[in-house]
Amino acid sequence: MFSRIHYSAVVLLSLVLTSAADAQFFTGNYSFGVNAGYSTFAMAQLKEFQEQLKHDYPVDMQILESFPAYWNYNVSFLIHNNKGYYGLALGHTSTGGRLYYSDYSGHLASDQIATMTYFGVTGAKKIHSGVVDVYVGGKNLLYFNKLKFVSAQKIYDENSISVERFNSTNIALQGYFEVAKTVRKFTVSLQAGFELHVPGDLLYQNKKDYYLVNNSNDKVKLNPGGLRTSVGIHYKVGK
Amino acid sequence: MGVIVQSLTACLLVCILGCNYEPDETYYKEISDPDLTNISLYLSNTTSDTLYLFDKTTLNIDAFLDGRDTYSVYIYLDGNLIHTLGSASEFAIDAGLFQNGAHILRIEIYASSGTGSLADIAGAEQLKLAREWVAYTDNTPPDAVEITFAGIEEGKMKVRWQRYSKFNFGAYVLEKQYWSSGYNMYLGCWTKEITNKNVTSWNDSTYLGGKIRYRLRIKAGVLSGQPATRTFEYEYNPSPTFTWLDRENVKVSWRKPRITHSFKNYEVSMNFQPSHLITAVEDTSIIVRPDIVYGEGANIRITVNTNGNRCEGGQPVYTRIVLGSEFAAFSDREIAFCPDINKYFTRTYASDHYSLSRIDGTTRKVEQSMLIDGHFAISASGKYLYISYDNVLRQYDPLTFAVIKTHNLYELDDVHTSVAGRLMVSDNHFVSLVTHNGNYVLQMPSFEVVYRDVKDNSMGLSPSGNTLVSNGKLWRLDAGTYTAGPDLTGSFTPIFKDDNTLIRRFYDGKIGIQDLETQIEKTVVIGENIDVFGYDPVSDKIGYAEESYYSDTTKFHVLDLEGSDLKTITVKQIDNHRGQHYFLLNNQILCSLGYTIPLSYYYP
Repeated sequence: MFSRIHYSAVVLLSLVLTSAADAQFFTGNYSFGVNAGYSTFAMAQLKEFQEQLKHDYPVDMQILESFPAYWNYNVSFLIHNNKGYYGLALGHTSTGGRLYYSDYSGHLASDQIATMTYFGVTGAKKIHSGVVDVYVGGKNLLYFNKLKFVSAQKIYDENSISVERFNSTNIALQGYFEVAKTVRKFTVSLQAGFELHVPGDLLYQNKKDYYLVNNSNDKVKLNPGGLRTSVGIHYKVGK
Repeated sequence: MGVIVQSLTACLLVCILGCNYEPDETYYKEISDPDLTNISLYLSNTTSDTLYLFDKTTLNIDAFLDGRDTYSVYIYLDGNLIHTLGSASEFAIDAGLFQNGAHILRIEIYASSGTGSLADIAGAEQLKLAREWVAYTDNTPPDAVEITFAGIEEGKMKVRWQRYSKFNFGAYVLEKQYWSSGYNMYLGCWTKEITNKNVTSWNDSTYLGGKIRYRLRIKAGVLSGQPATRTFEYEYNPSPTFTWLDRENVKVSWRKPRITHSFKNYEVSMNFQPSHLITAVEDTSIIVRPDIVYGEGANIRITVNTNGNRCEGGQPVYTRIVLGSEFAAFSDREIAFCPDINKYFTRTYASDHYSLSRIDGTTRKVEQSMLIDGHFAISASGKYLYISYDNVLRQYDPLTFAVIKTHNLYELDDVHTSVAGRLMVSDNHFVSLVTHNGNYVLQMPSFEVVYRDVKDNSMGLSPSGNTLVSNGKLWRLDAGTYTAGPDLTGSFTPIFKDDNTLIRRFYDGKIGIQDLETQIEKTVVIGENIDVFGYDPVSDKIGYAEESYYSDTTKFHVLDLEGSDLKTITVKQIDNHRGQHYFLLNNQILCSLGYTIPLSYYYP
């Protein structure tokens, strides 16, 4: 099921790239840019999983961090025309959780670190021209996620640490508003949007048939959907 | 443009590699010091800091750790590790491996700290609890203690002894032995081990009576001291008796044991029927229905059971319920009763000898017995007693069995002869006897021949001596000599009621009762298979039993001299060939097995 969706996304991206190359790329009306912003993450199943983990420990573990909002970065390549733009985006974001306990004899930490790298297409339609231009757009992204469980223990002088890794792939759709101001060849933009995910299974170190499951033996999935905000700057090449 | 693309890509890579989220918050829990107020370590064998060890002594560790988990327990004696345990449990010390004297026993317990800290939970943090005792060892054999008492006290068989004073005590070993008269020595019955040193008495619930001996020794591991002994003897026999309540029910009674504490139950059974258990010690009687006929017995078996194995004298006792009352047993068909002196005279065959017994008519016990060789005859009045054997005729005093006079039959006719048949003696002191030389009637004590004839076994003399049957004729005494009367035909045995009534038992199964005045004779058919046939002058009736070989019972018949009132009584079949017979005598039916019952029991 998910494999078909992934293949569909790849085909869609290919069509966009082909279209861009055919229409505008070689005319020289395009730009490169970087964006940085803040993202929130739903992570509902991982938060539940954290609760389960907490009770699996024999000490009074505390959930100190539970997948908070964090920095989001991406670079993009856009092709512009009079109505708007379209192009490609490549980005990265991360978040995490922490269970922790310590007393006079030592500490026990259980961290869950999620890193997500995405790639996809983006497109926006200009809905207002003036001192600043206003766009409404969308993105279709393919997320490549890594989830790392790091357990660290120290009792008096004895240390130990263990790491377990899981991977998954999501498809995401984002809608956003953008306000942009162009001065000469530079465009500064502000974006705010919301992203929805179709999450894939978290495979244990990419081994098929080994999934992350909870105590009820249900699969646990990484869903980073949520708000996306960013500030970007683009450099226009060509006319 | 290439510079721009490269710059943007580098920025993104820097972010991917260096700007990922990293958790960094921490939490610290304050933990208070562990509470040690409820922690303690004991040995259940002692409440002090001193221990006494001998042989293999088992010690039990009582460790109160207030919920903490025990990881290991180490036990040292004089600094040497002798045991390692996984929990605070029991362990044994073989004192024989150590010299007599004082030693230091140390116990160390390692347990969880109980703080609840991470290290406590992980087992990396432990609490050490240690304690020491002074342990004295003694491997010498224990001393003996004296048994101070063995006897009956308040219904209990009690044994008391001195308390053992030294610490090398394992148990008092009390052994009970009973006297075996067969082996002529004491044999073991049971052994008890009493491990409480302060127990210095024992109630023997297995004793009801008999000769016993208690042995007491002190056991200290594999070592035992010398035994002390004490004997005791007390006889108890239930001595059961029975009483007929009516014609069906019999009350069986017995003696209650004196040592009621030992009593468990009376086990009563009749003729191997299922036992009846009586658990109340005061309940010393039972009513049974023996369903027996005269001559038969119902065996009552009574066992008095104790709470434990009773070795001495615990065998069951018996009584035999019979109809009627006891009579001295005898084994022959010769018996006579003399109402005037109230004595029975019986001949008994036993151990290849005959004996003559005189039995008291009231007590029915044998008064006197003497060995005899031949037959006896006594007059109806009981005044004259004669015994014949071979060629000797001897007169005895019936009440002392002293010899009065001895006669030799050779003196009769200067002919060597001997007794060959019936011997009778009458109240006028005449003796009739059948010899190989002929029939004689002798006037005694002069030994003068009153009558002489050829030998004829059908000879009979009336009780008075005035009438005689011999050689097929009736003879009347007249002026000192017998005068021949009418002929008496047939083969028969004559019995005189008196001088005018003759009872003849014919060999063809008939009897004739003849009035000698009128010569009228009544004939009754009684059959040929008849045992002892007799006339009882007291009841004035004829009595005889049928011989029966194929039944448990037989018939005893009682017939009046009119020959018309025949009564039949069912009695137990007994062995006639072994000298066992029924008789009608003194108005009683008498059984030679040792019973008698009045005729009125059947015909009131």
